[in-house]
Amino acid sequence: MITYTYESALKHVEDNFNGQFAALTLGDSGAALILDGSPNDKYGFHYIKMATGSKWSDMCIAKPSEEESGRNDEYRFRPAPAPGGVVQAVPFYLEAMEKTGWTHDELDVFMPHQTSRRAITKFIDLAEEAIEQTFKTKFIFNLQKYGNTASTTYFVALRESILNGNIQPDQNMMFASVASGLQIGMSSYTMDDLPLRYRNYMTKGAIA
Amino acid sequence: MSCRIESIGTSLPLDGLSNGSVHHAVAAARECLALSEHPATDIDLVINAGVYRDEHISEPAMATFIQNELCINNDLNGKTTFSLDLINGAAGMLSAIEVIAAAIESNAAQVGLVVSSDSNPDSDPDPSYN
Repeated sequence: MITYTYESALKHVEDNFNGQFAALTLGDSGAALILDGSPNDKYGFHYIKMATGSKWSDMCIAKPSEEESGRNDEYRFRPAPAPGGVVQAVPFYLEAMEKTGWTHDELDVFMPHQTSRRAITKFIDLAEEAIEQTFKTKFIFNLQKYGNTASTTYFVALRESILNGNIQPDQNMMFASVASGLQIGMSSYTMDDLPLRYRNYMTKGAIA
Repeated sequence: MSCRIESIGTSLPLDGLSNGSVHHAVAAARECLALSEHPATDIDLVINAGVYRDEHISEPAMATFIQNELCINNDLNGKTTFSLDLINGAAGMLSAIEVIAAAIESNAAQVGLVVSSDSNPDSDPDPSYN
């Protein structure tokens, strides 16, 4: 369905002010996770907070196009409030770090929803200003490879980052959501031995 | 701590007309809140269990439109509320209750709103579509 959205947008977008511009990066994917109890307090999720700024709920809507046959989606995107969403995410990041009890140096990996490089870069600029230090090297980007795969972006990026060695056991991570709705969320997580187990399975060919 | 049903509201198809699922959800929630001891701002979690989505919207969650219409902490300033859709056919409201009960039990929420509504998703239905 998402690829249809991009195909539909291709017919209409002439410049980056077009309402369907954001749809050009959408890609299809699937992801699945198994969750169970953490072996101890060191590993797993420490803090999860999600909040909805529904004042901006009409900012980004995906629905069947009125102009197309009904098969394609129109992906309406109003760019003006988008930086607003990113601005709103910064205090959530600061709160998540404080509630988790991490200093900014203790965060190893920042995993954002893979929306647009411009939005993520804007968030990095604002967050660096707030914490008065650089942390752009901690960000995971895979937008250029898979596009915005919507609900699955974190886990498509997580799997690949594990396989290419960018995520290691004992690393502290932050999953960050800035999604339409406006859904803002931060989840702090310490990786257990999953990267070793996963890479081991892959080496043995246990997973195709 | 267990959870209880503190209030209930409905929006019924008395005149047989469809006004969309968000309209019905908001009307039911307004009645529910009017009969509740909790002001809307007390709500920590909104779960919409409706199956049919106005205009076939796939994103965002319909719950976000419902939360906004009800003016439940919708600007991310001060107290916040989290809204999501949980679709599980006709069992959706019970599944939503299960989630809110777990949230209350774990102290992640004190007050939740479960809302559901179903209506023709087409604002201008094709007469040949039955």
